[in-house]
Amino acid sequence: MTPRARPRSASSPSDSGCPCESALDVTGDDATQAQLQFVSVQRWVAGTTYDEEHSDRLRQRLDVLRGFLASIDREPDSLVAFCFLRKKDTGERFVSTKRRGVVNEQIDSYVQAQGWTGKAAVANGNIVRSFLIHNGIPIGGKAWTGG
Amino acid sequence: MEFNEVIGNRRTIRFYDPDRPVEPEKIQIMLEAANRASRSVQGDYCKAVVVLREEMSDQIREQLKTPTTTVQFDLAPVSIFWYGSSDYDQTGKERLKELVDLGALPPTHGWSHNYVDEVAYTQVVKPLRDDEKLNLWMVSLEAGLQLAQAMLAAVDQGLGVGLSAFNTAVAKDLLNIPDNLIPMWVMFVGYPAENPKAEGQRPRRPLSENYFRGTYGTPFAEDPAVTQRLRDEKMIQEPGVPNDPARKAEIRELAERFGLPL
Repeated sequence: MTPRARPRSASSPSDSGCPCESALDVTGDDATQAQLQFVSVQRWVAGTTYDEEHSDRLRQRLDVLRGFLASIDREPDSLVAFCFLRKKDTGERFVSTKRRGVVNEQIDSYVQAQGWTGKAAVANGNIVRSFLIHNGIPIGGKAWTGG
Repeated sequence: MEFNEVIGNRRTIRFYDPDRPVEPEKIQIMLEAANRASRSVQGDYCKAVVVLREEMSDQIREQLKTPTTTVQFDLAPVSIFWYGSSDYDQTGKERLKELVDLGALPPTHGWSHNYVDEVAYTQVVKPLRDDEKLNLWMVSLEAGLQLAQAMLAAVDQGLGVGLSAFNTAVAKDLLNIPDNLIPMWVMFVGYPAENPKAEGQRPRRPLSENYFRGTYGTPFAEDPAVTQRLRDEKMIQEPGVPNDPARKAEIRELAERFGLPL
């Protein structure tokens, strides 16, 4: 991302209504601010209350997500939407197992392309998975066990 | 550990210490606890396969995961795959007659070898086995009794345990599981990497909401003195507090240690 990252609901972060702004003092470059306009990113940031006193780590997470999205040429809301399908008869939304698997492989490919190894590879891949998890897509993470 | 405290201490553990192996004797004790569980018609309803983490490749562990059974496979030193068995009818007659001979099924309660041959087996056990839904109910219920005892035996030995779903197709090939076994749960076993009491006891509704006296809907009345005794003996413990900062901090530390999504 993100020449393609268009503001969704507000022209500036201060009036975006993002719950993250009250929980986290997130400031950054234009790309970061543009990222925070997306509903899915706002939901993610609002959900990461486990880390609310570490806004520096949030910026790092936003960077990883931005890099991944650029690698697959998608915007954040679009990635979330891609993972869901609707049942033909009821219209009920459900997570597509196949598409989730595709995204999981894309995450692994991105991690590999970045040259991350060891714990960084696991942790950075899981940053993207965290974004998906907070947007209702249960996606299997990996654990770093030092092996 | 006292029995009431074992029950009170059990939680589903989701973070295990991958570097601290589980002593084989503790696994044996868990299996024997399962083996000693109550079982109808003396049947063998449950089969289990114990697999150590290092016996599964990274690729296999990935394949065994489901959307919500994820890093437990990476962290837990031991996975026990539990299956229900429908073969209990094959030895049903002999097992029941054993109990008759032992006096566990005495004539005072209507039991005899003839009753086993002509009624208990042919009119109860076999029809149960032949009905798919009833059989599934029977096997699941009886297997659950064994799993519960295995979990409590683990807690009694200072271990953490948790039940979870798993990719049954992958496990079937990996573990050479016969076609007639019904997948139940995978039981993760290990020493907790999290404080097993950190988030308090899981919330439970008062007895009166689910347990009744005489007729359904008439609440079972708790004796406050007994309730207090169970608190003193740690069967009833303080429940967790939502959004507890200490628990959040612990999860953050665990996520950092293992590189997990947060």
